[in-house]
Amino acid sequence: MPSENILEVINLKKYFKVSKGVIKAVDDISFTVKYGETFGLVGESGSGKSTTGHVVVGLYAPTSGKILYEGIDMSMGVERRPLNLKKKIQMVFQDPATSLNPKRTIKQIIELPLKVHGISHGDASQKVAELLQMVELPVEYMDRYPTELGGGERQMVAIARALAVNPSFIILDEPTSALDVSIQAKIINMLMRFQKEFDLSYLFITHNLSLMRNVASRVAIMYLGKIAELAPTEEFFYNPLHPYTKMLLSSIPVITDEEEAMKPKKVISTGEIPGALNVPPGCSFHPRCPERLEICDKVDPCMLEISPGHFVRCHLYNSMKV
Amino acid sequence: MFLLEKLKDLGVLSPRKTEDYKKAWYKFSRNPFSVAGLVIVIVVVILAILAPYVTPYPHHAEFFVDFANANQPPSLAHLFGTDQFGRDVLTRVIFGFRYSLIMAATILVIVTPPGVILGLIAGYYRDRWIDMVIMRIADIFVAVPPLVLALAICSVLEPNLFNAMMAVSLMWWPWYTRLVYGMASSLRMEPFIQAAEIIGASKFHIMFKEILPNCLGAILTKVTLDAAWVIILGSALSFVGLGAQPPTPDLGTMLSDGAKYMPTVWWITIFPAMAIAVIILGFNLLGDGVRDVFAAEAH
Repeated sequence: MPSENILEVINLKKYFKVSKGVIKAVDDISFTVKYGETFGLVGESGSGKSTTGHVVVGLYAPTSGKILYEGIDMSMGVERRPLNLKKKIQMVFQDPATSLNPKRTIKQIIELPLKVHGISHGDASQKVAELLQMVELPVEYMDRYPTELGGGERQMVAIARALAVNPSFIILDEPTSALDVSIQAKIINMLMRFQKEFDLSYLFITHNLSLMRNVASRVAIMYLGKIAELAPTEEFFYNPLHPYTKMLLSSIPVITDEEEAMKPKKVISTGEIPGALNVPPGCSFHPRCPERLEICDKVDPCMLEISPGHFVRCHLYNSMKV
Repeated sequence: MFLLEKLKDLGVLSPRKTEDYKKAWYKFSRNPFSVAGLVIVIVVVILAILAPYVTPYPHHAEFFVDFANANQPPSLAHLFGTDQFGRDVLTRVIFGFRYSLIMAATILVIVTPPGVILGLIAGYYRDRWIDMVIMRIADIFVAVPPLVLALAICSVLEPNLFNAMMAVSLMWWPWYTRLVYGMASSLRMEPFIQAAEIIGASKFHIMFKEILPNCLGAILTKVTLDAAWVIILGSALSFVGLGAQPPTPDLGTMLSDGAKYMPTVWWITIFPAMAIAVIILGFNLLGDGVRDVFAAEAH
């Protein structure tokens, strides 16, 4: 029976050696992404969510653990991945101002994946024009430079570049956080449309919980390189289990009483994410945790499946294991 | 021109529109010093090219002796006076531009491509062994004062213009390697390079078509400013007798010859010295202007 997972990440670790020690940017995380779904990865800055995306796409080789793409082992840096698999996984970066080479024209930028993967030889103008039309940009933009475009337009160019090679899996690393609010919805709608149209699976990385609620089918929340809770989106927002999830959800600003009622009971958000070099012992969240137990600063909790598909890594639920 | 078109097709140079050049010229012309530098450089280049036609006594540039007219002070017949052999100093200064410019152009043409390519490679492979090898070798050359190394090489080999140029080239490339290394190793971490890697672009493409175009501004600025430095160094070598040999009208050689007759016959020394100063000033002002243009583009 063919697997329903396009991507499996198993016990993935990515450590960085620095002069003062080892930064465990990603510390033993596992998750799967199903065909056609949007898997959300949330967390504060420094939680390791972007590093996870970078390891999956191959910008960093993992320290240990496995990345399986359609069952094929991809646990290596991108330069050692076979060309025909490279085009399956693409990425859209956070800031299009830095993800597009300022010295290359839009045509040259979009043309590159077409040429590298032999999709079009010689003049690729026709195909580039199609891609520009697809992301609703005027064809005349072909001869312009990224600096001559607006932020939203640049991000659309970046999306066109990612789609040029007909990928099946796209990592969206905060694709809207660097953009004006007015353009964010347009980009998100476009991404959702392309997902249906081209059967894409997304790994959507963001710190924006409200956005996550609208786009993701399942959500994982990361804290200091580890996944704290992983659940289907509904479950994640209506029945959060981990104190960290509760804390974050209750800190979403809301306007109406209705929205307020949907949120978990107010949990006062305390402290900030500690530095990655001095991760607290035991459960790394314990210094900020309002419900900490005695065991919390001694033993690191394991991932528990509380209900089907709903995982949490917290000692509070040790007795509730299914 | 053909070469420029070819580079554009290859994607090393960005395709440009007329308005881009207009913008660049506007930025450049905002600073009167840059324009002055450009004018100086253009005038010097034209004088050097047309030297046999614009000088009053073209044959004085070669072996020529006229002791009857030796050591004449500046006059209408000899605007810059004549030297100890009766040769017209103005003529020799204008021919001297030739050697200075040929030296600068030759050295920079020899030095820039390997320097830049090594810098790109070392920067792209930052922290790998190839980076270590290239940059440590570059460090060795940088550690030796340029004039000292050039002196050593020229005194071992036969002293002439060619050997002087080779000597200067040998110690000049590491500066380009270092310049490009610094830029390439930081550009390498930019998301647009990561994007190219994810796509699967070749290392050649990433180095020469993604990174290099972003370094060209700085390289061109350095080439312009370096022209001045190379001329100083070349003149210094000639001054100590290890560069161009008499009767070649090299500005450095003229300085050292004239120095013996200072201060009474001052014009043999002062005019070549001023000529060197003017070229250097011209290239420096021009280089500043070039830098302004590219700095504006970067923002």
